[in-house]
Amino acid sequence: MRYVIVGLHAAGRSACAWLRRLRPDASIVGVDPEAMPPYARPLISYVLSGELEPGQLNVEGPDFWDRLGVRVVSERATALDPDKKILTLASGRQEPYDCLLVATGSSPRPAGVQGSAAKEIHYFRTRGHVERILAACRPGGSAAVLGGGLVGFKLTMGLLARGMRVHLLVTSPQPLALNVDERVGAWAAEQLAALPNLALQTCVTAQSMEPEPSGGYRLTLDTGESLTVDLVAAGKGVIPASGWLDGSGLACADGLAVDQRLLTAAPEVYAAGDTAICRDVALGAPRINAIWPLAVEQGRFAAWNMAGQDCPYPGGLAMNSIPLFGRHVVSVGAVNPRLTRGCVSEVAEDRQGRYLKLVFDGSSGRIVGALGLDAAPRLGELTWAVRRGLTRDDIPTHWRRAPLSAAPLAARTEWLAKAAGL
Amino acid sequence: MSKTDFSDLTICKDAQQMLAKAREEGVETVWDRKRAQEPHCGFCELGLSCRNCAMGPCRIDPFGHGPQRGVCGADAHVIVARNVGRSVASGAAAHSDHGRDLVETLHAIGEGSTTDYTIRDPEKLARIAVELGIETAGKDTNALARAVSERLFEDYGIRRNSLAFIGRAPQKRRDLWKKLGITPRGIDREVVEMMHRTHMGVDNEPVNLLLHAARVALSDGWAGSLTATELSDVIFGTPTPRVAQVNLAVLKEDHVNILVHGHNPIVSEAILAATKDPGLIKAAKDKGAAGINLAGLCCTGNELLMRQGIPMAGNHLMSELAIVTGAVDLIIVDYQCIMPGLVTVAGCYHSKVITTSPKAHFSGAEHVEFSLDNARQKALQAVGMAIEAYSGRDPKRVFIPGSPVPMMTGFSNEAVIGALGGTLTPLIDAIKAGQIRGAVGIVGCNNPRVKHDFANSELAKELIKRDILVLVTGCATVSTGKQGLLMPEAASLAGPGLSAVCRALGIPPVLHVGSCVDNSRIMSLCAALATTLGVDISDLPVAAAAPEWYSEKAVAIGLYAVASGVFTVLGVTPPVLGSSVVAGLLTNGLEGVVGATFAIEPDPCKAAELIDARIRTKRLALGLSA
Amino acid sequence: MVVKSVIIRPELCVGCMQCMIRCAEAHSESGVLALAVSEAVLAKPRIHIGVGPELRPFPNKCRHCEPAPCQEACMPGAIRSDIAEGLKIVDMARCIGCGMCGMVCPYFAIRYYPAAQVAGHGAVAIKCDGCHERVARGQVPACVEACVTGALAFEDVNRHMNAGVNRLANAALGVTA
Repeated sequence: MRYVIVGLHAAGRSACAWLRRLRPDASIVGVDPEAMPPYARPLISYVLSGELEPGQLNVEGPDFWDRLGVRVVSERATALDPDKKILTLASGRQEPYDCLLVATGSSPRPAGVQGSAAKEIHYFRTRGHVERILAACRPGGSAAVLGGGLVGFKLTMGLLARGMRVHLLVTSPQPLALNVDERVGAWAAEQLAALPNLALQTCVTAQSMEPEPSGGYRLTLDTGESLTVDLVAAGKGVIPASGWLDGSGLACADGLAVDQRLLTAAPEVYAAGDTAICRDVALGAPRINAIWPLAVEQGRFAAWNMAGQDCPYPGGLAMNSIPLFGRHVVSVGAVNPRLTRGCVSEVAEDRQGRYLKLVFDGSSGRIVGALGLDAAPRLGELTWAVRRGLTRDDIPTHWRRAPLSAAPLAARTEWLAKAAGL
Repeated sequence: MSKTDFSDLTICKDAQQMLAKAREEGVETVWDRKRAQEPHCGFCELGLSCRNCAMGPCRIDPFGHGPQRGVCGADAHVIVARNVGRSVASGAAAHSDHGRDLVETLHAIGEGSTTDYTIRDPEKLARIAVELGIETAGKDTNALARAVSERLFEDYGIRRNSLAFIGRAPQKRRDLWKKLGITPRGIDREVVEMMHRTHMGVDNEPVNLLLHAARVALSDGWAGSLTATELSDVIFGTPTPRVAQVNLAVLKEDHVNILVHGHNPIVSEAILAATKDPGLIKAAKDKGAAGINLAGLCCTGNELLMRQGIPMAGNHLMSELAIVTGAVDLIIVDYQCIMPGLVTVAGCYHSKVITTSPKAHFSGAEHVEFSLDNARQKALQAVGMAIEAYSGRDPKRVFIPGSPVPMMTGFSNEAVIGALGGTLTPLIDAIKAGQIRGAVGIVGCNNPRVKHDFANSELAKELIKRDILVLVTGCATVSTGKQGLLMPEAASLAGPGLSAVCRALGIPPVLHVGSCVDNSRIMSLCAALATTLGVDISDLPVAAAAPEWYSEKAVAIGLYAVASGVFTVLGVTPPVLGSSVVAGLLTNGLEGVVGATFAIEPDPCKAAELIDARIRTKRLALGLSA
Repeated sequence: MVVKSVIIRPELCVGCMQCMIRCAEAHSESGVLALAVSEAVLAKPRIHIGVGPELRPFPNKCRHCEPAPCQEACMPGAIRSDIAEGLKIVDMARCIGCGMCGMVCPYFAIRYYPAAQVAGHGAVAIKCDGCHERVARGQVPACVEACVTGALAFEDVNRHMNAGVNRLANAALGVTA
C-alpha cells in the first residue's frame, strides 16, 4: 500500500502518525514545499508578540519524519489525476499513490486593497510571514492592521508588543465579531480602546495603498480618510488552498466536499483540515472550520478510514480559545449575533467577572454554542455537549446551580443516584 | 500480612515484644488504629476545618483553589485561632476540673464529711494558708482545710481581683500580664469565655483570640493545675526522693496485678490503701496468688510514684500493651488519657476495666462509682474484683517481658530546696558557675505519630550532655526512666559540670517532678528563681519541651509556659500552619509580647540545639558565661 | 505487565476533599503539606470534587484518553504521551497557557494556574499526571492514598471490571457476598 499525504501541517502530520500506527509496513510519502521539521503555525502570533522565540515554533525534532518512516518530498503539488492515481509535483515529477490525502490547508484571504503597493501587504499564516513582519517592524513606527478577527487581533497585539503604533481597521461594527457575542465583543472593544498606541476604527474598509515618497505607505479608506503608515498587515480570514486541483475534475473552488468518511468525490482521495468541507454540527450544514484542533482530528479520522476502518467523522464546529488582556475567552459553535438569531441563551456569571453563556436552538432546544470569559476549563464539556446534540433539558439542575464547580456533564452522574454496590 | 518491624514504632523492648504478641493474638492496638486512620485529614492537620456551627461544616483551601472563607465569612486565620482557643480551653478545663476535685476533697476533710481521706502534710496546708492570706492563728488543721478550700473554690467561680496563687509569679511577669490584659480572673470563667468567644459571630480577630487563649492557659498553670498539685501534696503528702521501678516487668506473674490509670490521686490512693488490707491479701493468697501487686500507668501512676514509690508499668502508649501481657487482672481508671480502645483490648483477655468517676463512663467497662464518703469501701470492692478476675487468668497467655528498671523519683520543690539546705542559693550558684547551664522541663505525652519514647529520651540525653538539668513530668518520666536516665548513675551521661553536681548531691541529671498537673511545680520553681534573682521568668536560662505531645492539655501547658516567659519546643506540629498569622505569632511574634515563643522541631537533636542556643542567649544576657 | 490506573467510584465519595489537598501537596515543591501551604507559588489540585446531583460529591480528574482531544488541540505539543506509559502529561516548559486543551476536554479536567515548576511563565495547563513519579517509586497516586472511603482506587482496570461483574451477578442471584 502506498499512501501519499499532500500537506504536512496539522492534518497531514496527524494522518501520517496514525497511518504509521495502523499500517506499520505501508509506504507513506509526504509532500510539502515548506521547510521541515514540523512547526505549529498558530504559534507565529506568540513569536510576533515575543512570547516565544522563533525556534520554539518547532514541535518535533529534525528526525521526526525519518523516525515515523515517512519519505518527505519538499515540493509543491500541482496536479492530481484521480483516474490514473498520480500526483504531479512542481518539478514535473510524478508520485503514484494507492490512497491520497489532500491536506494542503488554506491561504490568507486577499485583503481586497487596490493600489500599486497592495502587494506589499503582510499576511500572517506561516513562519516566513512572521519573519518578514519582524524584519519590517521598528519600535516607534506605525502600522495598519486590516481585519478585526482573530488574526487581525493577534497582529495588533503583536505589533504593539514590538513598540509600534497601530491603526486597527475593522469592517464590522466591533472587533472579534465572528468569535464572541455582543457583550464580550463590547468588553474587548473597551479594552482595546484603552490601549495606548492603538487607534481602533470600526465600520471601515481600506480601499487602496500607495507608496509614500518619504517611505511608508498611504492607505485610503472608504470614508475618504487616509493614513500614512510604515507597515500594513492583513488578517481577513483564509481560503482553502485547493486551487491546484482545478484540473482534477474535483469541484474545488471553495474547498473539497467530503462524505462522512472524509472521502472526496474521487476514489481513494480523502481530504482533511482547512481544505475539507465537513458537516458543522452546530449549524447542521457543510462548512469549513479552518482551525488547528479540527485539522488534527480530521487527519486522524482520515487515516483511520484510509487504513480501511470504517470511522464516520462526527462533524466539526467552530471553536477558539483567545488569551485576551490577561483573560481567557473561549467560544464554541454558534455564538456571534449573526448566527444566533432565534436562539435562546442562558448566562451565568460571578463577582470575579467570570462569564459563561450557553446558546440553545430556539425550536429544538439543542445546544448550538457556548462562550466563556475566564471559564476556559468548562468549555470543553460544552464542546462535547454541542457535538453530542445535548438539549437544554439535558443540562441537569446541579450543573445550572453551580456551573463553575459542578461535576462535568460528560460524567455518568445518573448512577450516582443509585445505591452503592453496583 | 507483611512482618512489621516494631522498632519503627517504639524504642522500648517491652513494647516491641508486646506489639508482636498483640499481632500474634489478633489484638488491635493504638498503632493499628492510627494506621487505619491514615491519611489524616489535611484540612484538620492545618487547623482549617470548622465544625462550630451548622451553617457548615467548613474548610478553607490552603492552596487557594477553593473557598477562602467559611459560610460565616471567617477566614483561615480566624478559623485556626478559634480552633486553637477551643483546644486550650479543653486542656485547661481538664487540669482545672481535676484540681476542683481536690478542693472538694480538702473541703470534705475539713467539714468532717469524709473519713476516707486525711491531711498528711498539715505543715504545707499551713504554709498555703499563709500564702493565701488566711489567718492561721487559733485554727486547727480542719479549720484551715475549710478556709483554704473555700478560698480556692472562689478561684473557680466568683470573680475576685486575682487568683489565689498568682502572687507566686514574679512581679515583672504579673505587670506584663496586666499590661496585656491577660491576667486570669477565674478558672472556669476564662474557659467559659473562650467557648463564648469561639461561638460564631463573637471574637473574630485572631490576635485577640490568641491573647485570650493565653489567659485561659495561665488560669490553668497558675491556678487549676497548681491547685491540683498543692492540694494533692497536702492530702497525700509532699513527695520526697526515693527509688522505684519502671516498665512492664513491674507486673508480677504470681501476684494479683492491679493497674491504676488516669490522673487524680484520689482514687489511686484509695486503691493503694485497699491493696494493703490483710483480708484481701489473704483472699488473694487463698486464690493461689503470692499477693497483690499495684502498679501505675500515666499520670495517676506518677502521683503514686512521686509520693509512695509505687512502680510504673508504663506511659500513655503502654496502657494497652500492659494488658497484652495477659497478667493484668484489673485496671482501674478515673479520667483523662484513657483510650476507649483499652476496654476492647481488655476484652481480648481476662482483664477487667473499672471506671470510677461520674464524669467518665466507658462502654463495656464496669462502673464502680467512687465518692468522698465511700472511697475506702469502693476501693476494697474493686480490689476484691481484681482477686476474682485473677481466677480467670489464663497462665498460657501470660508473658511479662524483661526485668524492671530502677528510677529515682519524688523531687518536689520542697524536697529539692530541702536537699539544697533550705535555699535556692546553691542551685543559683551552680547556674552562675555554669556547672548547670540551665534547666529544661521535658513534659507531655506519647503520640503514635512519632516513635514511642524516642524523642522524649533522646532530647533528655542531648540536653544533659550540654550541662542542662532536665526535669520530667507525666509520660516523659517513663520514657526517660526506662532508659535509666532517672538514676544517679546517669550522671556519667551528663556533661562535666552537671555530672559533678549530680555526683555531689547523689541525684540523677534528670529529675522526676511529678504528673502533668505538676508542671505547675516547674512554674513555681522558675518563679522562685526569677524572684530571687530579681528578674523575670523570660530572663532565666530555661526552656520547656513537649517532644511527643498529643493532648489538648499539652496545648494548654505549652501556652501557659510560653505566656509565662518559657521558650517551648514542640515535637509534633500543632494544627496551626493553615494560618500564617497564627503560626507566625506562636513561633515568632509572641517573643516581643511575652518574651518567649514556641518552636516546632520533631528531631530531638535539633530541638536540643534550639534550646542550647536559647539558654546561651539568656545566660549571656544575665552576664554569665555561655 | 498489568497497567494500573486510578478508578473512581463516585457513589463512595463523601466529599471530604482529602484527594484534592493531598494532590496539591504531592505536586508542591516541598511535597510536605506543612511547607507546601506557604510556598511562593501554591501548588494546585489536579483532582476536583465537583457538585453532582442533589449536591452529592463527584470526584473528577483526567481520564488520560487515547486518543486525547487535549493532546490533539495542543499546538506546542506540550501534552505528551512519551513521559509515562498510558498517561497524558503536560510538559509545563512547553505549555503556553493558550486554553485550547480546556476547550476540548469533555471532562472539565484541566485548569490554568501559574506553577512553581515554571516560575514567571504565566498560567499553564494543570492536570492529573497520574503521579507517575510516585508510581515509579512504588507508591500509589496521592489522591488514592488520601481516599479513606475507597472512592478512588489504583487498580488494574480488568480486575476492577471483574469485581463489578461479580457484584452484579451476586445481586442478580440475590447473594449477599
